[in-house]
Amino acid sequence: MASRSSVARANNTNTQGKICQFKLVLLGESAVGKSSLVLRFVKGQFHEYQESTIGAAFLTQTVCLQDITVKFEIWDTAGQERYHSLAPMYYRGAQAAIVVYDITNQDTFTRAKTWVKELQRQASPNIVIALAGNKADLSNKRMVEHDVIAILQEAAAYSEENGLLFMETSAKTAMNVNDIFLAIAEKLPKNEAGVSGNRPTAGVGLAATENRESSGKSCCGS
Amino acid sequence: HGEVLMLNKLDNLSRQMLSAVDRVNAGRPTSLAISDLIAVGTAHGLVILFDNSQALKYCLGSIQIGSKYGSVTALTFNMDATRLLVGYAKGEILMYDVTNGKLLRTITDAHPPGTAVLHIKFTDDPTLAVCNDSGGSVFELNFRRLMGVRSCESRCLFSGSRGEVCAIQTLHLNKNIADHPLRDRHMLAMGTLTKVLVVALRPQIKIVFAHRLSTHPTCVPLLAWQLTILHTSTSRLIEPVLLFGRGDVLYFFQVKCEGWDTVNFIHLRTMNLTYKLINLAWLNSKTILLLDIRENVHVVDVDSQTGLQKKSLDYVKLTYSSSAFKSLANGGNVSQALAVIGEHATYHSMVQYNGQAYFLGEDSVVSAAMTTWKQRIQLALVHSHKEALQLALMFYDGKAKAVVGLLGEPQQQREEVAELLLDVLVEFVDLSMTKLCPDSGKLQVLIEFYRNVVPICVNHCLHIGRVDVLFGRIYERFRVDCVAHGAFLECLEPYILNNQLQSISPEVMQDFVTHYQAKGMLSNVESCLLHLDVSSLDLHQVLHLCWAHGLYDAIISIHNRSMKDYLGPLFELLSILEAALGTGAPLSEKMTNLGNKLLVYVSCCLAGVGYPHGVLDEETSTRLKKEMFDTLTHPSITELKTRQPYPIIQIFLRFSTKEFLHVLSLSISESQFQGTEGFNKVQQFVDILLQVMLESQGFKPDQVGSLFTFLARLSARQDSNLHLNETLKQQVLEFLTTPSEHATDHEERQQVALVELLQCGFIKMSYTQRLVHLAEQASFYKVLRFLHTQQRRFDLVFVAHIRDPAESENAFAYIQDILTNPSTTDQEKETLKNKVLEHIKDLININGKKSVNLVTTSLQGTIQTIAAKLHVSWYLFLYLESTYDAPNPSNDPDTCELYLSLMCQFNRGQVVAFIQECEACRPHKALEIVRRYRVDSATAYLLEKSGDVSAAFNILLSVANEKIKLLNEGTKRNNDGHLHLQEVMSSVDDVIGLCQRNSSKLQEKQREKLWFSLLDVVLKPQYHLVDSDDHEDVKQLAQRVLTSMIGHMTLPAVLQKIIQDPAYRSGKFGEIRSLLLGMLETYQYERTLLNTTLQLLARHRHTSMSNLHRNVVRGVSPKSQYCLVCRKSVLTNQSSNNGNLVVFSYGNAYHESCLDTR
Repeated sequence: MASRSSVARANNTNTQGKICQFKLVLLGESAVGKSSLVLRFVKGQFHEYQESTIGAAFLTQTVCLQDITVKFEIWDTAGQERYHSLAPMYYRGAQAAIVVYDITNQDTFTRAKTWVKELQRQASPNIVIALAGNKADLSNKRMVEHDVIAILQEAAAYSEENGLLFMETSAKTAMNVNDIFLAIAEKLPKNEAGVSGNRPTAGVGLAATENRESSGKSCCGS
Repeated sequence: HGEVLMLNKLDNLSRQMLSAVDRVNAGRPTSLAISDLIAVGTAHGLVILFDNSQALKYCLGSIQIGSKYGSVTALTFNMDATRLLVGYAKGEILMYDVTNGKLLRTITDAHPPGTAVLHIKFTDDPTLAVCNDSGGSVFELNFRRLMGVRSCESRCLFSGSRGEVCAIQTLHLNKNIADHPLRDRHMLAMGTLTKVLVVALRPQIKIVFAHRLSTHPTCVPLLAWQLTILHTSTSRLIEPVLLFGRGDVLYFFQVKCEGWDTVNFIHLRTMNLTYKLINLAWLNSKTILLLDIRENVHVVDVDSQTGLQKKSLDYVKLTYSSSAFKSLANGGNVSQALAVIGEHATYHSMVQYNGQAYFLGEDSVVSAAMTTWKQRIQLALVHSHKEALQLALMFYDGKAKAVVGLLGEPQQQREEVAELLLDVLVEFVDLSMTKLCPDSGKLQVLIEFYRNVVPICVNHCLHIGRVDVLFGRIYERFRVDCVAHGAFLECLEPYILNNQLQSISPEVMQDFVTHYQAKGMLSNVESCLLHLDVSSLDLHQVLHLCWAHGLYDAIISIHNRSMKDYLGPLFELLSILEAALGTGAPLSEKMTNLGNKLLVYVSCCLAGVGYPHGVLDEETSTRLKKEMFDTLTHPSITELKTRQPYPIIQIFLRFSTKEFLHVLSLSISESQFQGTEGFNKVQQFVDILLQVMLESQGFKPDQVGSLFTFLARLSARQDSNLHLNETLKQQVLEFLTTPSEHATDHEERQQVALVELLQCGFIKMSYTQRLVHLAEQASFYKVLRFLHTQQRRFDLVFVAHIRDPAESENAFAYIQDILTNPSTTDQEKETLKNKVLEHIKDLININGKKSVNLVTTSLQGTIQTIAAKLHVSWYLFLYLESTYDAPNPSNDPDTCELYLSLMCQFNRGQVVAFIQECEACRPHKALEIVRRYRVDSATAYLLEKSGDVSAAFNILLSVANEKIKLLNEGTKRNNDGHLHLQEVMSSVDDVIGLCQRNSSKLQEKQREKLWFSLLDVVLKPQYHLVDSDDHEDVKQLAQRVLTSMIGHMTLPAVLQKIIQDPAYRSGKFGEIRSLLLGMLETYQYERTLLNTTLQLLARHRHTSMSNLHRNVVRGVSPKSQYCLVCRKSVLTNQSSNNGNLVVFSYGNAYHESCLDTR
C-alpha cells in the first residue's frame, strides 16, 4: 500500500504546478555580451573579462509566472564568425531567441538584423524573438551621444515593425536582464508542444481502491 | 503472467444463503443458475433468488414441495430472466415467474417417472426448453398458453437407451444478433458417455455434428459454447465455437454457416492436458477456465495452449450433484456408468455467465473473473517492481496472454501501457532511493545497488522510446543523491558506446561531462563524445575539456560534425605539433600520438570518410577530398607559423617521413588519384615532396631514403608514367642498394622496391651490370635472383638461393623447376648441374634428404660419383645417412659397407641397429669393419649370427668384466656408482640374453662353461667388497644371473658351483641363505606349477573321456524308417542282412551292409 500512495504523491506534484520547458537561443555578434547576459540571468554574476564562448554553452534557469513554472533551456551561442554554421542547430526547434547587439556599436546592430532575418526565414514560425541592446550602462560614457540614440531609435522602430520584444539591457548593472526573460516567458504559448511535465497521467490509477467493490458489482452483471 | 484470475466470494449472497438454510431449513445448496438474477437451489426443494446486488429477492417453493419432489437438481433462466425452470430429484419440473415469484406451471409428465432431472435449459425461444433426465434421455419442452391455460408438451429428442446423455448445453445468441443463420435453429449440444452430438431443434430436428469422445470412466463429458466475433473488412462475423471434451482431452470446433441451411463444424484444435477435468468455462474467446478433479482451477490461453495460472478451490467446498446422477431419490435406478461419473458431476456448481465463472460451495458462492491488465500489474507490484515492469513490457509488446481491458488501436494500447509502465518505473526509482536502498555498509555496496537499478530504468525507457522521462522525471530523482547521481551517469556509458543512446538531454550531458571530468575518466568521456549527437553537447564546456586534456579525437570529431569544419582543427592541432617539433627535443608520447592521429585524420579526409569512424554523405565527402588535397598542396597556410613552403607537408615529413609517405601511398591508391587528372595530382604531390625534402635542410638520409623508396614504388605502379629525371633515378638506385645499418624490414622494403622497379623497366639494362655488383655487395639476394633470371644465368640464381638464408630451402624446388622446364636449353641445364655438384656440400647442409632426392632423381648421379666429390667423410656420412633414411635404400654392398665404416666413426650408437636391419652387408666384411673400429656389441652380434657363440660370449663377457671392474674402482672413488651399476646391469643382461638364446643349441658341457664363466665374473667382485651397500648391488647381480640360469642348468650343478665358490665357501651359511632360499622358492614354484599342470591335464583327459563315453552310449533314433541307400525299411530287411544298423547322429539310418557296398 505504501507503494501505491507514493505514486499518487508523485502524480500530484506533477499536476500541481505546471512546468513548461522552453528552448531559448542567444544570437549576436561576438563580444556584445550574450554570455554575460545569460550569466547575469542564471547566476546573477558578472565578470568584466568574460572569456569568449567556444561553439555554444548550455544553461538552464527556471522562472515562475503566476501559476506556471517556466524552465528555460538556454543555448548561448558563440558570436565568432567561425561558429556561425552552428547556429541553425540551436535555433532549429527553439521556441524563443534573444538577438543581442552592443548599443555602442552600429555594426553589431546591423548583424543583429541579419540574425533576425535568418530566424524569420529558417526558424520555427512561432518563435518569440527578443532584441536586446546590451551594454546600456555605457550609453552615457564612451560613445558620442548622438550615435547611441540613433541606434536606439532605429532598433525600437525595427522591433515594432517586426513584432519583436525590445529592451535595452545591461549585464553589468543587471538592468532589464530578468525583465527581458520574463517578458519572453509571458509571451510564450503555454499549452503547446514543447510543454513537458504535464503528460496525461490521470486515469492510470495505480491506487486501485475500488477493485473489490467493482468486481462485486460485476458479478451480477449489469 | 501475473495474477490472471481473481476469485471473489460473494459475501452478501453467501451470508443470506446460509441464514436461509438455517431459518427455513432449506437444506444444503445443490445447484446454481445465473442470469441477471442468481438462483440457488437447495436439497430441501427451495430456490433462493437474489438480484444482481446480492439482495434476497424471493424464496421460491417450500419444504413441503421439497418433501414431495425431492431436492432441486437443475435450474435455468430464460433469456430475459423472467422465467425460471426448476427440476427436481423425483422428476418434476416447475416454472416460476421470477418477476413476481408466482408458480406458473407444474410439469409432472415431461419424462418417464422415476428419473431425476439432470439438466434443464431454456433455448433462446422462451417457449422452448430442453431437459435431460437420469435415464439419459433428452426431451424438448414446448410451453403453450391457450385461452389462459398454460400447458406443456414434451417430445423425446434422444432416448437414453442409445447411450445416456449426461450433459446438454444450448447455444445462446445475444439478443442483438438478429440476423444470424443459427438464430432460430436452436442448436443443442449433447454429451453422452462416448460421443458429442449437436442437434438443430428447428425447423425440424436434425443432427448436424457428431464426434467421439475419449473414455475416462470417472470423468464427465463437458460442453461449452462461446461466441467469437471476427471483424472482417465488410462485416462482423459471429461464429460460435463449441468446446467439448472428457478427461484430459479437449476439442475446439468452430461452427460455420454457409447460407441458411448448411452448418459446418471445423476442427480448430485439440488440447491435451496433464490433468483430468470435471468442468470448464469460457472466460473470453481466447481464454478458458478449467476445473480439474482435484478442485484446482486453471486459466488456459487457447491459442498458445499454455496454462497461465492455477488456483486451488479447496476452500470453496464445491457441491457435487452426485445424488441426482445416481437418482437416489428414485431408488437409484440408473446405469452403472452414470452412477460412477456422477461422483464428479459439478454441472450445477460451476456456471459461466458474462465472462465470469461462479462456483457454488457448501456455504458460499465464489466468482472467478479475469483481472484487467492494470490490476495484474498492481498485483505484480505486491511481489516486486521488477516483476510488474516485466509484465508491463509484455503488455507493451503485445506478448501477454489473456489481456483484459486494453482496448483501441495497438498504438493507443501501447501508449496507455507505456504511461503506467513509466509510473511504475518512477515509483520503483523512488523506492530504490528510499526504502530499498541499503542503509548501511560500504559505499561500494550502495554504488553497486544503484548500478543495478539504473540499467532497469534505461532499458525500459529505451524499449518504450521514452528517453524524455528517463532524463526528466527519473533523472531528477537520481540527482538528489550524489552517489546515485554518479552511478546513473556512469551507467549511461555502455548505452552511449552501443549507440543506443545518441541524444541525451543537454542538462544531463553537462552533468555527465562534469562527473567524468571530476573522476578523471577522460578517455571514457572522449569515446562517449565520439558517439553522441553534437547538438545536445555544451560545446563550450566540452571543447574546453578536450583542449585542456588533449582529447584530440573528440576535438576533430566535434568540429567535423557540428560545424562541418574539417580544416580548422587540423590547423590548430598542426600548430601544436609544429611547436613541439620546433623545440628540437624528442617528441613526448602525447605528441607522437597527436601526430599519428593527424596522419590518420588526413588519410581519412583524403579518402572522404568520417574520422574516427562513420561515413559522410556524398557531397561532403567529395568536397572534403578536394579541400584536403588543396590544403596539403597549398604553398602557404596563414594559420600556421612556419613560413617555409608547403607547411603541412613540411610538418608531417618532419614528424615522421616514413609514416606520412605510407599514408600517402595508401591514399594514392584511392580512385581520385586514378586517371590522367588523378595522375596530375600525384605528380604534383611528388614534385612538392621532392622540393621540400631535397631543397631544404635538416632531413636525415634515412628520411630521404624513405622518400626514394616511396618514389620507386610509385613509379613501379602499372599505369604510372611518373616524370623523374635521370640523375634522380641514379640517386634513387644508389640509395636503394646501400644497405642501411638498422631495420631489416627497411632493407626488405628496399629490395621489394628494387624488384618492382626492375619489373616495370624503370632501370635500363645498361645499368644492370653495376646493379649486380651493388646488389652482391648489399647481399640483396632477391634482387640478384631477379637480375640473373633475366639473363638466364640459372646457375647464379641457384647460388643466390643457397646463399640467402630465407630462401635456401627453396633452392631444391628451383632446381627441379629449371630442369623440368622445357624452355631451358641443354647447355644451361649442364651448367646448372655442374654448379649444383660444386655446391653439393652446402645443399647437404641445408637438407640432406632433399639433396639425396635431387641427386638421384634429377642429376642421375650415382653415390660413387658423389662420394668421389665429397672428400670429407663427414659430408659423405650425412649424405649416406639421408640415403639410408629414404624409403628404398640402395642394396649395393660396397656402399653399405662404406656407410657402415663411416657410421662406426661418427655414430657408434646406431651401428647395431643398422646391422640388424641391413641385409646388404657381407658378414665377413662387416665383421672386419666393426672389429677394426672395435664396436663390441656389433661384433658380438655378428659373431653370434655366424654361429661363433663362444667368441661372441667372450667379447660380451670381457665387456661386462671391464664394466664391473670399473664399478669397483668407481665405488672406491665413491662417485656416480649408480650410473655404473646400471651400465653393468645392461651389459650383464646382454650376456644373459646371449646365453639364454644359445643354451638350447649347446651341449651340456658348453652350456655349463658359458654360464659358470659368467657367474664367476659376477661373483668375483664380492671378494673385494666390504661395503654392505655395494655388496647388496653385486649380490643382486649374482641373483639375477642365477635366476636366469635356472631352466638352462640343473639345480644341483648350480648349487655345487656355488658351494665351491670361494665367495661362499669360506663364508657362513647366512651368506648363501638367500641364494638357497631363492632356489627353494623356485623349486616350490615349479612344483606347484607342475602339480597344477598335471591336474589340468587330468581334468582335460577326464572330460574328453566322458564326452567320448557319452557319445558312445547315447541313443540315436533314425529320422526315417528307411535305409537311405537301399530304400528299404530298416526293420523288415533285418533278416536278409546281418542285421546291423548304422544310425548317424543327425538321424540318417543305413544298413551296415548297404554302407559297405557303397
